[in-house]
Amino acid sequence: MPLDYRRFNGPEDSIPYNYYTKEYLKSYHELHRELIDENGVRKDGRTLDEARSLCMFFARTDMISQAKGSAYIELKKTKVVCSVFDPREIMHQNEFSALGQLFCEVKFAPFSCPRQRRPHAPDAEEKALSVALRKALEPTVCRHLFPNYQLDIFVYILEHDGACLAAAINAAGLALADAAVPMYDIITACSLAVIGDQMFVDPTEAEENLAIMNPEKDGINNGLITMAVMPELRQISDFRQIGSMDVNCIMKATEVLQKECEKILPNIQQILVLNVVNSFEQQKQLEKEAKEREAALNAKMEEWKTLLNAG
Amino acid sequence: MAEVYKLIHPVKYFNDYINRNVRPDGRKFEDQRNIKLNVNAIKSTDASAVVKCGNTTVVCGIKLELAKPKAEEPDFGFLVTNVELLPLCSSKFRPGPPSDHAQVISNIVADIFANSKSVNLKDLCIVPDKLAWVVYCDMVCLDNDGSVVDACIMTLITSLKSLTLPKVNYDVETEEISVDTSIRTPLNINGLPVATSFAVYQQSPRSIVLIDPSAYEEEMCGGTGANLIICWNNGQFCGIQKFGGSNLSNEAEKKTLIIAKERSKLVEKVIETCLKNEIK
Amino acid sequence: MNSERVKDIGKICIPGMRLSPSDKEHISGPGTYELKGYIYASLAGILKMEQDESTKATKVSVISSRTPSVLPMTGDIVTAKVTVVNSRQVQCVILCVGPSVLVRPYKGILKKEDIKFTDKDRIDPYKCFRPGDVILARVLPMTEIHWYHLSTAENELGVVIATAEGSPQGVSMLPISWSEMQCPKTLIKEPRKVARVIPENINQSLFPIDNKGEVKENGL
Repeated sequence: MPLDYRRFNGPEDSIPYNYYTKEYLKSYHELHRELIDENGVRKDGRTLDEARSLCMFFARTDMISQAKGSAYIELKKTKVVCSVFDPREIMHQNEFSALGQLFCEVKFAPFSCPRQRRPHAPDAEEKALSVALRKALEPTVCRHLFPNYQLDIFVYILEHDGACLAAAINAAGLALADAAVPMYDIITACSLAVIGDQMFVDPTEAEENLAIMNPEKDGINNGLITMAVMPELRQISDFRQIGSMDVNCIMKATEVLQKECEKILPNIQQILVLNVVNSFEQQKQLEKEAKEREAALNAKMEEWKTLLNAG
Repeated sequence: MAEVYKLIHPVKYFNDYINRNVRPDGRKFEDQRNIKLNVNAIKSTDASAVVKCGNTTVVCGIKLELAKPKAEEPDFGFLVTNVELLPLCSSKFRPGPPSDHAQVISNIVADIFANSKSVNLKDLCIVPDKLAWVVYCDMVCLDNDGSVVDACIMTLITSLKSLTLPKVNYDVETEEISVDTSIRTPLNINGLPVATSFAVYQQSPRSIVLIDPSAYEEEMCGGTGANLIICWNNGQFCGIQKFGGSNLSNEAEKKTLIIAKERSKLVEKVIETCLKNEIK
Repeated sequence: MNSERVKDIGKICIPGMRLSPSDKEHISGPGTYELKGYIYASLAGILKMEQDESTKATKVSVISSRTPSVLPMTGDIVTAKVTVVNSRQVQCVILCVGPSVLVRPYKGILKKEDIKFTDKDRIDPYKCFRPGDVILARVLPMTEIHWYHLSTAENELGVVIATAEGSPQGVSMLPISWSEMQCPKTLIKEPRKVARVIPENINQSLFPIDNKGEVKENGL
């Protein structure tokens, strides 16, 4: 790898210490056995079809003071920050385009992954996530309102514990609404990991990792699915599947994901409504203060006038 | 309406505040912003800290790796600090490789930290000439509202203070390494460097010193960052830097030094309370 | 959420909410869009229903507390700052659209023939604008990517704030005629295409141009 002269670099051949721990050498079967106990309860106490959105979901807007709109989403350990800026000129563009463009960038923090440190330079996974995010958001934004310009959407993953893309889409949707970007609908997303005949809704990093690992036998379903939905318009804006699975499995997974996305919706709606209420109250307070000041000013004017008239 | 005024008459707008001895966010000249600190919020790291000074938010995460020490310094470990100013933290930064400004900030933080001699790099060596720790400290700015260096130093030192090194067994003959994560020893830290930023604003004939400036104040005082950064560690200076801005009289400089000292005591207290609560 | 707080706000909307059917009695206004015979909300905000006097139709719009991220539209009055003046055209950056402030400035261009309404062939841009002037202008239809074409060919449009050469920053000249401004400190006169700004109230005519922000913000 070429040396990054813009940053401080460590020694070239450094290795994460967990390569030398006992944890590292586990086989596929051992890892699989660890994920779920005999009662069907996952490591973090959830059942297979239970998403983190119901019990461990935390989201807020207005995280970043410098951005037009921003959001933060936490799914237990997965932590994602997103900010949206005003439209700006598209660099090196010569053609007239009737629709505005979205520029999405997903970045992992160097310390975000539990396995190894991520390099600073953007890698293939980040690029793939950025494109996926852009494709998912494009149908929801009223792009005809800013022709020839682009909207910047930056997503930063502080900690990666599975369902990154889903969290990024949810956060971006919230941030867009917070920035008052006209949108056709709210967007919600959810992901699912398939390992054999088990479906892990809203998987953790360990589950995702196993789902994309090649199983030792052929013909076993495995893979990851992420789906983004516009719930009010009943449309799917993005569907992404990796791994190999049969048709029945996908049909079933789509149904499960559809339900999950609808479950997230009230959470997001609540945040947006609360925002409107808060900003309305703030505005009212400001108007009240402004009126008081204006009254004080007018009183002073009258005072001066009488003084002037008196000579 | 005030927004329009700020945009069209930027200098007059700022002067109107300064003439009334108040700053646009309602602070007095020598007031600093509230500090919020949280340790070990990110579980995928070996140690982490989040700090919020007013709106400015910086996250520091530490990842440990193992490597062979450099041949010329066989008994030294590595400590690599980087500051990342993300495009998401301010509209001034573009995606892509770090800008010049980001590199300058990164350099200042590394310099201050090296000068403070808080960490003895020899403590990071496991077996001389064979194996040493590499401590990667990545500071990430999520919200840039001025005085980034202060926040970076604060998160860096807090996360280093909460860092523990797992036990490493190195077999000299077979060169086999095994790591036992159940036994962990804390890293030895001497002192506690604290950086304090100032912005110097020239309003003839006087020049005004603003403590802990916000991004807007930094911009009004000329330049992309703070004009003056003073670091204090254990009753000793470990870095004073002045970048542009207006000239500063001797008395004003003395005053800033005293303020920096006062602030370093306060920040020390904040960090210690935070770490104590974490251990409980 | 307690209902007490929500009571006096009105109807709260979030994107994708179906507001009303789209027919002769309902027109889609700002913050909404039409789809398959219905009007939906596209912003998070408060619903506003306005009855148009002439057509008797109700205009449905959503008012957001933040300025929506939309760009200057043809016909809008914008506030811009002049950056470059040459013999053919004037370049500027657009700062505000109507009353709302833009976070990112957009580039605007003012062609020589669009500066004044009369005497089009004898216009000299140097005698109308200087870099640094704040002007009011109207947006013309967009013909180029990234450049908004502007016009000041109206009596109410032109320079509103300008600083004379050599005067300190923050001291603005006062208009003395439709084509000249004078600095109150140095008494230098400079030619400009002056906008006829109608004084809103006595406050503004006593202290020209701007005295609102400072007083308001500091709260006296």
